[in-house]
Amino acid sequence: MSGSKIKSNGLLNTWLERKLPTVFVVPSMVFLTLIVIFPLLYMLYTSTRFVNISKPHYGNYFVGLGNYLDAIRDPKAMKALGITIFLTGIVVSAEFILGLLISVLLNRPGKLQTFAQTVILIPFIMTPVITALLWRYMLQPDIGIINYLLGSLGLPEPTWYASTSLALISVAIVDIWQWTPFMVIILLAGLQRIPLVLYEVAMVDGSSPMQMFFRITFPLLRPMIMLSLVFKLLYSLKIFDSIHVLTKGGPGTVTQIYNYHLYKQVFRFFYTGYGSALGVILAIVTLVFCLVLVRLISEETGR
Amino acid sequence: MTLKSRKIQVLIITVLVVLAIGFYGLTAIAGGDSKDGGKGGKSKDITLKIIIDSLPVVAGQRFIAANFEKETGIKVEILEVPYGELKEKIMLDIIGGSGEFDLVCPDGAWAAEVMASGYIIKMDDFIKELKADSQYDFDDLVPGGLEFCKWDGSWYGLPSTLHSNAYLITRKDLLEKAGFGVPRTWDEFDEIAEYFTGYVDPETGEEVDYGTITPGQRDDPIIMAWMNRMLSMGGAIDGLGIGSLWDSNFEPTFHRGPGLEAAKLLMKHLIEYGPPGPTSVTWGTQTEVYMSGRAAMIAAWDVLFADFENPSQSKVVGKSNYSQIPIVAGKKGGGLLATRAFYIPKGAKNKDAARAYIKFATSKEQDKQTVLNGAPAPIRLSNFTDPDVLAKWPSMREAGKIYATLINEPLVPEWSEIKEALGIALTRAAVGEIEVGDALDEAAETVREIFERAGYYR
Amino acid sequence: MILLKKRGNFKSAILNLLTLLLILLLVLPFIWLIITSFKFPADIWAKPPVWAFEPTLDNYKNIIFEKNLPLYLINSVVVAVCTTLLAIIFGFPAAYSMARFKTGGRALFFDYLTFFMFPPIIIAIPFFIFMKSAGLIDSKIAVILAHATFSIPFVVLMMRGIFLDAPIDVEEAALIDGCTKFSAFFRVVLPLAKPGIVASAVLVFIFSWNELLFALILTYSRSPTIPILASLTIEAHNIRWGQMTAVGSITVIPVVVITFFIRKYILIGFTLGAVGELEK
Repeated sequence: MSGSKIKSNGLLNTWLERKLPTVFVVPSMVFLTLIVIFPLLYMLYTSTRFVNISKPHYGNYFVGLGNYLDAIRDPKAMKALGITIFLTGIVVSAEFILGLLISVLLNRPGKLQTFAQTVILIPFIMTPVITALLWRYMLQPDIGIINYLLGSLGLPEPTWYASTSLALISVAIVDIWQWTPFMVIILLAGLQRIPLVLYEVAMVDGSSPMQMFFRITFPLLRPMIMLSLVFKLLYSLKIFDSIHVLTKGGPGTVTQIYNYHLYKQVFRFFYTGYGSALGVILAIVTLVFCLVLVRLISEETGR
Repeated sequence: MTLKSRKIQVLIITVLVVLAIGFYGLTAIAGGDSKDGGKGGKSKDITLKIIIDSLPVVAGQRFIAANFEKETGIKVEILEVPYGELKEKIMLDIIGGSGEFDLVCPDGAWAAEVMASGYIIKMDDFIKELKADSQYDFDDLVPGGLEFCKWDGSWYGLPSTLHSNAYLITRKDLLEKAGFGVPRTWDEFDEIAEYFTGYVDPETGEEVDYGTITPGQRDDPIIMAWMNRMLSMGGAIDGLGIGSLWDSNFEPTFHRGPGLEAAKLLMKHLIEYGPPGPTSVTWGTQTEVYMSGRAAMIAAWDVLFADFENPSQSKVVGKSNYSQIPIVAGKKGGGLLATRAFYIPKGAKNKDAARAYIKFATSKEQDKQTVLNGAPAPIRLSNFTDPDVLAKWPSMREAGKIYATLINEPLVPEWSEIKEALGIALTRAAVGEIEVGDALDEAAETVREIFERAGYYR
Repeated sequence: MILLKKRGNFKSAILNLLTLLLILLLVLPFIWLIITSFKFPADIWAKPPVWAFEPTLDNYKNIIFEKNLPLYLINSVVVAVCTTLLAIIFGFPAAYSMARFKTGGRALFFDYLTFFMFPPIIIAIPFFIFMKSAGLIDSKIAVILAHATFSIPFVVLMMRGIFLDAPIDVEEAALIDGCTKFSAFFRVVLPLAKPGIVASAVLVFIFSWNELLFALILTYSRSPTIPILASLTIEAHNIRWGQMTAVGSITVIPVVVITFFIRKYILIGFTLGAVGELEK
């Protein structure tokens, strides 16, 4: 089948040829819009009303931006937002640094490396509820294997998710264990496409490995870095299972992240109006984060 | 962005909106059709659908369902969902009026919320009928359980299972050896707990790490432990929670009197006699630690007693004594009563069959079946003393006495929200972030706000 | 890398040791999970943790026969495979179009981002109502559609990045040769993008396989998925650790085996441009 044959196939093909980019985008947009538009519109609509679906006797009335103001004035919500941003900061940076180091480590030929490239995916494949439960079991202050190992090394045995200072760190540990493989896979893929020739040239020039990393690896890896950061950022704002299983937001409100606060409002107390407003605020915060990151991507890749 | 692509976008969006409207229109019509179809094909093969969480007692409920099927020919389908998701599952179903389930079994903690929502049917006539039925013997039902089924003067359901964590389980071998009896006051309890914290048996070398282990995780575990102590120390609450939680004007009182005392006692138990990190302890952790033989006594759920005497799970088989937590003699209020109750959603498709099932499942004989095949949690007084039941569950010797003193959780629709405030306050105190009295004062303030918003002070 | 060989075996040994350590760190928790799944409950909560114990298959028997694992497994496979196919079929051309022809510009890109990031907890309730009115509750279709809401944008965003990075010359050559854009897409782009498709497909598959919230809201007895079985081991008063770990082990192993075979694709998948070089 040659190109000219298709070209001569008449009007449809000419049209298809001209509109191809649009034709490719429309199905997915139509599909997504069909599924999501109702929920989205519903959410925007309820966010302007006072409504509690399990307690209809409270009434259902228009409050305009009242829910948004409530959310901003609610110290619990704002504290939760702060915790979320803090937690996101910890996990994204830790996963990125670890991911980069590990991917550099694994970017070599060898049986061990090949094996590692496979098993590294295990934490990522495991169902998040099970991951969280497993870590709850292992970090258990009393019988947990981690405290047992620490104890037998003569190290202090912290109370992990039961203590004010370490609860959020425990949640972060679970997330880091679970998501570092994701970072590794994407970064490793990026590393593998850097032509070895570049390093050889640099070697001849007498560059140190440090210089090579910052002059060759890092710049060429940038698009992959941005891609992985955007995705991880989006997912970090949605952390839920580890909180629900490990701490229920406690002790106190130390680990009550925004998403958990949202869950409580919507699925425990059924303040759907207020919850929707919380959701929209979360989406806006996410959008701002993404905007910044996408700006960075565009600038760096020049596209 | 070029002008052209903007134009395309506007076009795309317009087309999408039109399509979406058409699509929803169509699905609405299709949905309507299927509903009518459901009503039409009713007569013969009814399937009764029940939603419940995965409790040990569900095994017993399955047994009843099989009997019901045999007797009436109505198929019964029990859907087990994780406890953590039971509430939203039930609420979404009854609010949508979808009629997926004919019977829903929410936790008693949400009973008021469910009944006040107006999405489930009243059953005053049905209850009147049952009361008149001498064979059914309505008065035999545990009175506390019935409290969860009444709202605003009307009947809405009947209990499917009752359970309690007002039991005190002690290691009788250890206690006897050390010359202790079963503790009858909290002072005695503390003395024994103190004695066994870090205890090593001089003869056998057996180690007991903790005098007692108390659940301290945020939300239900720590709140139940606190309320149990509050009630046993002379606290009292009526159905609406009036008494030691708040007064008749819904002004919080739990941060004074028995509430405060109980919180102080709870902190002592959590911090001094229990394992490190008390806020990590759930009911599961507590029972597992006890079953591994490392705690001298616990206050625990009766639904888990089957595990205690199961050799594959427990190292203390036959070594436990089951009694009640220390109480003030002669007072009602020996701990909390928890429940699952049957309610019929307004949208239920088989309401008559659902009523028949309730009557069947709560009958003497079938309740006995639940207990014999599930866990020791009957809803009928007569089954507390039934010889077969006692032969199967020796732990139930005192159960009848215990259940007579239990008090149910407050019946206010805002209870879930209030619990969050209490859970936060108590766990903050448990990790030493704040003094327990101050924590409860803060919680009282939050509870006031919740009542204020819900219009209790108007 | 060639560099390392020149630096001598000592450094290589250290790096290998580090890799080994890393593998252990990643895999030990999983091994602990597997070990726990063969323990009786009494051994699970022993202190100190026991390594030598009498193994049991009770946990596996329980989840397979009593809890009906096959039902969940089949549902999960169907849902995850369909979601993946749907996401690729819809997402891949869109990503290509956006990367190559700048369709919709940044605005369209943000449309997809917006779809991707809305909190599922909020979407879940209206989505439930929508599915209810469509009569699709407790059907796999409902779960697949719900998973598509995050899978399609994911594929679009991921593949767009990949296409932006891939060299444009092969396609241009094809276009100059007289191919239409349409046939160039099928004859040149598609084969070239195969590893990329596989890579995004694997990630989408994993996300769908592990998704809990939508699956929970939208299913009853007919189409629950694996994560629901996992959370069923969390009872009101206790957690069935043995069963939980058994579910964990059983459901991870097939996916690990699959990933082992397509590992190479995953790694090169994100870098269309480098395919040629790697295969040399």
